[in-house]
Amino acid sequence: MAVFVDLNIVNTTDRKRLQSLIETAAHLGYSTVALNHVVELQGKRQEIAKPTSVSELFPSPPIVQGRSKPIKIVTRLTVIVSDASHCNDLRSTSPHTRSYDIVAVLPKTEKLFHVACMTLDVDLICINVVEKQPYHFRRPSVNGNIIMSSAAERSLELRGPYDIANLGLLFGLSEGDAKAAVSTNCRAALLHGETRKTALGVIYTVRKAPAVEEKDEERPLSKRAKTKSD
Amino acid sequence: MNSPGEEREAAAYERHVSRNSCLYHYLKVGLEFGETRPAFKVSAAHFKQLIVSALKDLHGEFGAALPVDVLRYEEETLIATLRVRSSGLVKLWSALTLLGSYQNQKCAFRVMQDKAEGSISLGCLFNWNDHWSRSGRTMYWILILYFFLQFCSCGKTHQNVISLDGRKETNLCILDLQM
Repeated sequence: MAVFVDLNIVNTTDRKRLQSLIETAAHLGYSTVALNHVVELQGKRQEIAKPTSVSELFPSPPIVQGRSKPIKIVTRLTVIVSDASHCNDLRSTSPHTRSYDIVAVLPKTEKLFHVACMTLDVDLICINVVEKQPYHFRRPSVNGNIIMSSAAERSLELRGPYDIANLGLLFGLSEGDAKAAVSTNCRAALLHGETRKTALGVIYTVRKAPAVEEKDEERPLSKRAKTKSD
Repeated sequence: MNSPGEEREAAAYERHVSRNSCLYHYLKVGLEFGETRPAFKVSAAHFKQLIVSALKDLHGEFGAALPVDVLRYEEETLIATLRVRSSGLVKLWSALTLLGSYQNQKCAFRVMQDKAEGSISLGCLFNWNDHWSRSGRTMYWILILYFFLQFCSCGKTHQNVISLDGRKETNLCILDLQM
């Protein structure tokens, strides 16, 4: 059975509402949900707050309906950018964004949209389809992987994964794309977030040819070839 | 799969996918009102009107004219079985998904089951499971045609059908369908 993921559950301070939201998501069959913290940077640099602790919320998370595992809760940060200077936080590995599992950006202008697609190191690019956009966006040349999420604030606003996949058909996606929008592509975004957190550099070892090693054994210590660690 | 002692009903979702073109789709849906149950009752007529208005909101007059049948409705649990033509499934399902409120009360439609019907000339209901191979289905149709022709040509139907050895199982199956 496919793993369904909902990457946008609006974070609120009301704990009970949040708990009922996550319980409903587990009941509907979502294996992973992301608590979304939305930040709008305006003018002066704002501090991006630390994410709410997930373990505090649920000492034992609810079990996903249809699987025996508990639901996985990750944290997501969405930054609404309307100016190029706001992107500095997102460009390099900033200490603020590292505590979140997924980083998303919501560009307000076309130029920022292009910047987000090409250079920024983010996992998701958000598009608000409810409001009329001031710019016309074209899908980026790289495989436009689309995901759909609920942005739900109450448990009644959540819909099952197959319902969302059906809505994808309305949006013009093919059946395979629509289902991937709720499962595969979301998982890819999660993995991208993980690599952003962990992979800072790569150490690789090269296997030395055995003939060279034998020669080295004969030579005195001082004349042996220096290894990479020296 | 369900943990014991779970208070809420299992939302075990079932989806039967048919690769053949089928005529009707059946949807088992439930209307949820959240924590506060409304004071008013939702009768079958109200339920049907709710579906039609949802279709009208999303797909306009043309959508509202989509023939949807409420085959079964339970007023206490607000669970119903709907039938719609396969061509209108996406419209109906999307309209139900996007319905947000009824009479100023927040609600949500939960689709629990979605089944495709393959209808054949005998008017029976069965599902093409995924593991039926194409050759298996062709053989099945050939057999149906054969026995249908047998039925038409001679009067003593039952005796002819049962006397054939080695095909008893298929014969019994056909008899069941004809009943």
